[in-house]
Amino acid sequence: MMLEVVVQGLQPAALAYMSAAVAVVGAISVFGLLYVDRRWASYVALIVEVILLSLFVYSVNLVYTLYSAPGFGSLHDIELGIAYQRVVAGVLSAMLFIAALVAIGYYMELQRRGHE
Amino acid sequence: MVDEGRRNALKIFVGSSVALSLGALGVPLVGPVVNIDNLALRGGYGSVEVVLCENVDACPEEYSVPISELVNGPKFMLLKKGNMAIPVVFGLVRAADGKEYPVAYNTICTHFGCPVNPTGGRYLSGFACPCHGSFFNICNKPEGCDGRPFLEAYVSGGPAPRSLRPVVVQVKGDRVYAVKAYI
Amino acid sequence: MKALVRLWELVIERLHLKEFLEHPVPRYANINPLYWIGDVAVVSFFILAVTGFALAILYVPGLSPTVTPPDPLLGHGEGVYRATQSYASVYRITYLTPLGFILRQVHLWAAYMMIFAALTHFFTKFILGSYKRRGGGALWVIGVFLGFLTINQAVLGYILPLHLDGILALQIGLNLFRYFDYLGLPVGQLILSVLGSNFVTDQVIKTIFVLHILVVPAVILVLIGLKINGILYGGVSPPPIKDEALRQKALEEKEPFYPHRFALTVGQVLLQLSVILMLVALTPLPLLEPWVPGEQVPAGVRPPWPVMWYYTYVKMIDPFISVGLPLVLVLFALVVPLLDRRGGVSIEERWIWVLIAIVYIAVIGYGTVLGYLIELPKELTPLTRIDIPPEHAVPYISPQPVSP
Repeated sequence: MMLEVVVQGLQPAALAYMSAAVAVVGAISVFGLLYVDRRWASYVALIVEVILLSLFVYSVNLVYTLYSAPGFGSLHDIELGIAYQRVVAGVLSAMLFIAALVAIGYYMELQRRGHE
Repeated sequence: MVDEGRRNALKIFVGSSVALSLGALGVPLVGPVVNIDNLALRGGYGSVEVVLCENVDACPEEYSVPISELVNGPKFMLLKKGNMAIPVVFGLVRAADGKEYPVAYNTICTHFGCPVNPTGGRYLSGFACPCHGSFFNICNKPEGCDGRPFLEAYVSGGPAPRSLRPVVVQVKGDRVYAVKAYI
Repeated sequence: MKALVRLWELVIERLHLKEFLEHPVPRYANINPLYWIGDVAVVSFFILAVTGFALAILYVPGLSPTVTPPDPLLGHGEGVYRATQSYASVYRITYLTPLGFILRQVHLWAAYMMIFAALTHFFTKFILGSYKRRGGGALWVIGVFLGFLTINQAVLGYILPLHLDGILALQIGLNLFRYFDYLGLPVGQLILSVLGSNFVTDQVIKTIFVLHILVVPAVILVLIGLKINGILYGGVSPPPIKDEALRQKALEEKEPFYPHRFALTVGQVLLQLSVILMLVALTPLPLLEPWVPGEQVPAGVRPPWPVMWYYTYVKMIDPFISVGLPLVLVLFALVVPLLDRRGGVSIEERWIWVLIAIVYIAVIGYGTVLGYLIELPKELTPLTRIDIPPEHAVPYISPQPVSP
């Protein structure tokens, strides 16, 4: 009889919504700031990245804790593991997207001004 | 004084010696990977003949099925010879004269190579390929079916170009031995 | 902060990357997608390589039967399925290893992205007429081989998990060209001598594995290197502008690759990874059903989308003609630079070839879409029957009845 694994942490859906909120707000602000001043855009981008990084580390930690639980193995546990891993993928995707925004913003500025 | 012809000749000679030696270098690289014995296997009509045992007395048990098991229905076996694996279905065919004959066929469809499913229940009556819909019927009339010999698994429908490849079997005691396979 | 920037500058200077990176590139090729879809394919290849490293360590090839639970992404199945050792290891990587799910899904989506980008890149180069400039024809020929190798990798990678579709793909791949009467025998002997068997065995799986992770990627890497070298010293394809003066002006408007285009390339890599991970998070793909030799094979199995067009045309047209269709497409692609030699790079001067390019892609696209939509029964075609002499057709030396 396998023990049902209970995770003491945020539910995957809650984590997903939180990360989505941070990512969308962050992306829009970075995108807007790129038109104003590239320095402010990069500062805000760094802050958003750090927040997303903390969410990323939290989700990854949850995944590892879940998979190393003694009773792990039932279909419900695997589905929970998949859900958390999808959240991890989404947070990582958001982090890479914000970094891409800053990189492309750098290019746009070089096109506009010819130099940094 | 530069002799153009001499220079060209030297280039060709040096180039071909280098090319020949590099080509020869390829022989120990490719040689072990290619099994020359298999290249020399006999065959015909699109199939390669593989002799599993010289005669039925020298046949090991792995190439056989007890008849008592075949009575319950067709049996799948993966026959191994060297590095080869041959998927075979052994079965009993109820002929038109009332007698039962043991048969075995290589279940690789002669169309594009999918594994075929046996049809018929306890007595093997044919095969159906699930990939592109070929049907093979086993001729159960001892005098033959429209020119086809007894127990040939001929194509009765679908895109397969030839009948299913047989595995020649012989009965010894209470077991059926696979002696020669066409793959 | 300044120390980090100084370190970066030092690295690219001492590794002599500065000369390589500051090569001037024309500005028109920066944003226009017609020029960077090839980059998408190359970046996908590197993503596949890196995720492939980890997967190759975790994957265990083998045919020995074992059991696995049903796929969780497909709903709540009950019981267990018989599966091969390869399938069980892929199941273990995907569902029983922490973060293995992301690894496998990224590999899968990056593979789809690479195939799609390679096909689109071929299409755009065909439309632009990139093979016309000096050195463009050689790049085109290398590109056709790369496209062939990409599809090869897709098929080999599809076989590795040894699910039902993979084993069927392997069986069809091994036995497809034995269909013909006279050619079939030497082809069969060749397959037996290289692979050892024309049915799936441990040796065959290991050969497929080694081809997929080592041999074909090495060749792809060398060809990509040749292509990049060709673009570096030969330049990007000219813009499709009819007016000579305007075209020269666009070609001369250059800027150094680093930092201008380099920033854009970094952004493209990050964006591509972001899109792949978004696809993983929103639409992960399940494992296909397992199979062990000996089990009943269900009907209606179709190939994956990269080769679906081949399946459709082989079923619609007599196989004796349509089995060679990929060869025809590859040969035609190779011959295009020899046929299209008249000058002119604009669309209005080349409208015939643009039309041919559209037809080529439409053939593949139509076959792909049709393969999913309709059921294609294959009627009896007496023209293709081959009669065999009785000695080769019967499973006995002489019929021996057994007592009932």
